[in-house]
Amino acid sequence: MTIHHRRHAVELVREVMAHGRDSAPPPVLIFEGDRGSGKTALLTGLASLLDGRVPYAHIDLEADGRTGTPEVLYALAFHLGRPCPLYGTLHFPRLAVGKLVMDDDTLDLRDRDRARQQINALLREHRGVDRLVTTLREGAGDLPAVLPASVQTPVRLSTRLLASVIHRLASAAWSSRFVLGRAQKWYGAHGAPRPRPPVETLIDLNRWHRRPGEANNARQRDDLLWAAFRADLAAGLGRRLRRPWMPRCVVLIDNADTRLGRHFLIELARGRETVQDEPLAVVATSRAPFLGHLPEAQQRLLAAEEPLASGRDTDQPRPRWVRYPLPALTEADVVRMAREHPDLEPRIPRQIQQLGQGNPLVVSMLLAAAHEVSSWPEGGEELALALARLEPAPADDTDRRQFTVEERLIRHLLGIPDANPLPVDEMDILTTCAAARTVEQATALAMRSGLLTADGYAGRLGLMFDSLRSADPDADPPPLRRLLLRRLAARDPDGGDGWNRVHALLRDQCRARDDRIGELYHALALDQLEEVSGHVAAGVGAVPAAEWLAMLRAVTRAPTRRPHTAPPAQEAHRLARSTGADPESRLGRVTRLVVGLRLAADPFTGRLRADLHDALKRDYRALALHFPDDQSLLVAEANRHKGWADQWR
Amino acid sequence: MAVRDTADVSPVAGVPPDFFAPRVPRSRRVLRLATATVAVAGLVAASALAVNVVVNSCGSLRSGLTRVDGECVGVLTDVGAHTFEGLGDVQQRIRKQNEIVRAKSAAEKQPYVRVALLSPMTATAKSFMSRAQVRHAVQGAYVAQVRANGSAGTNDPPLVELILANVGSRQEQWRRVVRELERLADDENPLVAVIGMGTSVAATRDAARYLAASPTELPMIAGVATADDFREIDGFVRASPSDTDYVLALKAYLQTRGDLRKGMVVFDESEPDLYVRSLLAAYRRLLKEYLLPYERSFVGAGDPGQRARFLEPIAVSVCTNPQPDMILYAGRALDLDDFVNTLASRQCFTQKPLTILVGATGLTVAPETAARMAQTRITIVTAASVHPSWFTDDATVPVPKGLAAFVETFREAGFGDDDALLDGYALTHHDAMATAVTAIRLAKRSKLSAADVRGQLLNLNKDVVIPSAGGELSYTTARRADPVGKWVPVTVVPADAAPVPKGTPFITG
Repeated sequence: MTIHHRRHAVELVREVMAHGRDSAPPPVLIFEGDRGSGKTALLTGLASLLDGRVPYAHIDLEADGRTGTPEVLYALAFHLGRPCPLYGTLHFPRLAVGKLVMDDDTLDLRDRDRARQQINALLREHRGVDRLVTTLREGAGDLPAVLPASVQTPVRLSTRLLASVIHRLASAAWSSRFVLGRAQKWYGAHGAPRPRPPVETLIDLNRWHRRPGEANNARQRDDLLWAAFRADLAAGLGRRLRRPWMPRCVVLIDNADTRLGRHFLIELARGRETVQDEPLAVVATSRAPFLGHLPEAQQRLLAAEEPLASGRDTDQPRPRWVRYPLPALTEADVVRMAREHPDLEPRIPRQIQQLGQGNPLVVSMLLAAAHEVSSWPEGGEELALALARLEPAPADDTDRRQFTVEERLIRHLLGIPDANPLPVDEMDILTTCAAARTVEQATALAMRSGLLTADGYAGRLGLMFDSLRSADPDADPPPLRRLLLRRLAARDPDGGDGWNRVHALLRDQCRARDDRIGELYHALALDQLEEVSGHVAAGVGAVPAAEWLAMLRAVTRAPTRRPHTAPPAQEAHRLARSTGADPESRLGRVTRLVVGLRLAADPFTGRLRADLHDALKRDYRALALHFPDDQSLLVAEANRHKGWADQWR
Repeated sequence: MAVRDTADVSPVAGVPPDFFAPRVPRSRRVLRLATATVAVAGLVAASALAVNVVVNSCGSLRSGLTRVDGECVGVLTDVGAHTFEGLGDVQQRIRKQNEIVRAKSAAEKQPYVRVALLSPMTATAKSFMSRAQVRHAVQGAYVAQVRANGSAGTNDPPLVELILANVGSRQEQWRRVVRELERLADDENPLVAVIGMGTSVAATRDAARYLAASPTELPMIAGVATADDFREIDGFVRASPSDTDYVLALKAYLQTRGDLRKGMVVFDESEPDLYVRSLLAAYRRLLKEYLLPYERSFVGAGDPGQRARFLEPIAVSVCTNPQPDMILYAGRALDLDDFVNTLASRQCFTQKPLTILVGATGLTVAPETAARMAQTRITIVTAASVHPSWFTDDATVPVPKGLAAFVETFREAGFGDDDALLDGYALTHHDAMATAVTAIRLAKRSKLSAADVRGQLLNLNKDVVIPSAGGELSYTTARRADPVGKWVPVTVVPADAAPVPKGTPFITG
């Protein structure tokens, strides 16, 4: 599937791959984004673009199991070692020698003479490049297994090919001496303040690895392995390092905001401070900013479409870290994506974008699911049909389970693996919290449940809670909140944590805090249309147009628990008439605006929205006459709805 | 290198699939392309060369021979590595002799030297030398080698190895052959002389001139190259008479024949046959008092595509007045049978006998041709390097002093082919080899070179005796390439058709 709206991100990668005029290392490029924002898909796409053209490694640091710097380095070495035109095949004999020695649990650390003999025998036994490759592959632990499927196959294939091709080479006595001799010798000049026999360093390395808790053993081990990795890389690339037209090798790290990822990246950045002609470009992904403890001068946050080279003072040092929040998909992107489903009803992608809010995963899954729907209802709830569908059956050779599209999205947005059931307690509180308009409201609801303490988030709820947050309370809610609101609507409305009870609670809290907009928002969620319309109508001509419009926009974001059974214009007419207000009066027009804007903000409202927006246009224009200070704002709103009416037609 | 197929479709919208592909600089691409092109071209050329070598090789790949126009040409240093048609037994004898030479020299830690027989080793319908002449030439050289080395290599050093250099039936491949010979001159066991040289054609002259100017200074001792053109070539001598010598011998004979007064010159107009041209010039220069004022020409062996054409008009012209009583034939012996048969059909044979005079290395006439000549009153008088009766037990004419030893060794070799001596090729090539060996031994030094041997060629006179069979040969600065002391006997065919001088024949010098 094609990835949209990520061209600039790919261009940034090429910028860090290119050799600059100065010899300073390129910054680590970090793509930030929420779950489903397409970070993993982007790295997979980058891997596909790099494959066969530039050596690269692609690892996911969210893998379970005990992994540390050595395992990550083995994985990097193993994947960078795949053959690539112009670059040849990179070998990592120093790293492999280090691993061989580290893994020897039988080394006698009390008798140094015996330890020397053991190491010499061990290295003699393992002379051969194919064994080194196997060594690195085994050492990478679980890391290769979490690579995307598209990348795993060639890894296995190339490993077999590599092993078979070099088997003969490795069997030759001279090549074995060459491969291990130089790698082994390297340890004589590293790991200690002054040169000494390599075997002494290797004995120390074994000790550091087997007793990582003592002193700073783990740090010394990691430093030495990093140096071996870099030395192997530099030796493997040789003169290619100095060819300005040859891009750097690339390391793609998914989920770098894990503890392992942070540690690894910081070690990597520290190691390249003094390096000339840095051979690696590092690209990582993160759900949240994780560089808070680093000086701001070392970081740079790029705006959407901002190139790496722009706005930087050439006299200032290059930042070590560049963060680029992945922008959400635009409506135009979604329309382009919908072209992959040419039979799809053309208004459905707009509804999907309204729900997905540019989240690539949500958009792509809903588009695929909608494509499978054979007919659409006359009224609304089209997206409910798509969400209720089963996702495509997984391939036989995967352990992926099949869920409805809705559950798949919830699981993905919350990061819940297939093997685990949805956590009942957390889901309940999250569903309740979905009613909250602000973070403070949501936190208060969570604390009321007891799962959230005043000291902070407890367990997975904290991570899940992030997906509900929205920086602007008046912005359209993120997709997870939309989905959870549907769950909230499905509860008994008058039950303990039912729709009415929760919104009434929140309305009362807002009233107590004198939060008038919040109060009206939750009142509208409780379908108290007359109260809301009356208050909004009272502001017509009484408050400035901008202020009135902002209030109207914020209040009409209120969700509804009722299904949309009729076309939007009819539904709006019916609801407005139910208040008994004169349709031609100011109140009647305001009521239609409140009802219409609330329906237009709901992605589950029917797709036949042209008439709805036409009516909104007319009411905005009529009410504009009552705002002598600035009619133009309402006229502009009217024109905007005229445009939308054309788009939905 | 295993490289995965890269996707043709980009996974990212707006990004081409090769977005990350290294942009190889144009100059580098051109260099890589040029390197690849050159490598491929080199590979193709090397493959073609290898295929060419394999396809065109003769015998083993390292025999030194290359197939050109169906003939194996080149220098056969290992004489047994390839067998030329009709030469198998001779080559085996030479190979054994060479082995003896190498073994003996190794045992005594004495270097041996090489002498190359440069000659056509193959014969075709278009060649200047018949297959028999080729064989006889090699036989003669071998006999001289055996005599030079002594049986089982018992003679004084340096012993001599004989190698064969085939220039092709029409000697057209001389250039590649002489270049190879030049390389052998620098060998540890150097090539120090070239004998044979083929017949008197332009290729022989060109090869001789090339070697004359070569820094190797290889000496050349010709077997049957009789053309006067060779006389002034440095480092070149011959064991046969020159064409001038032949005509002088004929002139001496004519002085004994009062019945032969009117001669008509018939010549082969083929270019570039130097023998014919040289013989024709000698006739015109030395026998002009006998010549009628008209001549006739034909196209003979010099032009293989037009062989023996235009002979019939000659048969007519000999019967028209003034009728010649002798034909001064300036053509190849190969065409003589055709010429005789044509003349045999002349209408005036009953009115007047006809004598054909010719100078040649040796002339053999088939019995049926001789019978026809007798019937049609045709006689051939030839001045040659040999006389047929020299090789019979009851010679009717005197024989040179060294002939017996040659004949004895020849017969000991057991070729089973006594008639081989009659065409003179064996004797002249024997004498050429003997001359070369004598010069080698005269120049004997610890490190012998071809230049040393060449320097001794014109010192082969006075007290230096060449063990030659065709006379007591010597070479002087006055006669340069032409030998002194070479016997040029006159032969009459049929034997009883005309009187034959009984005394010592014409001797050059």
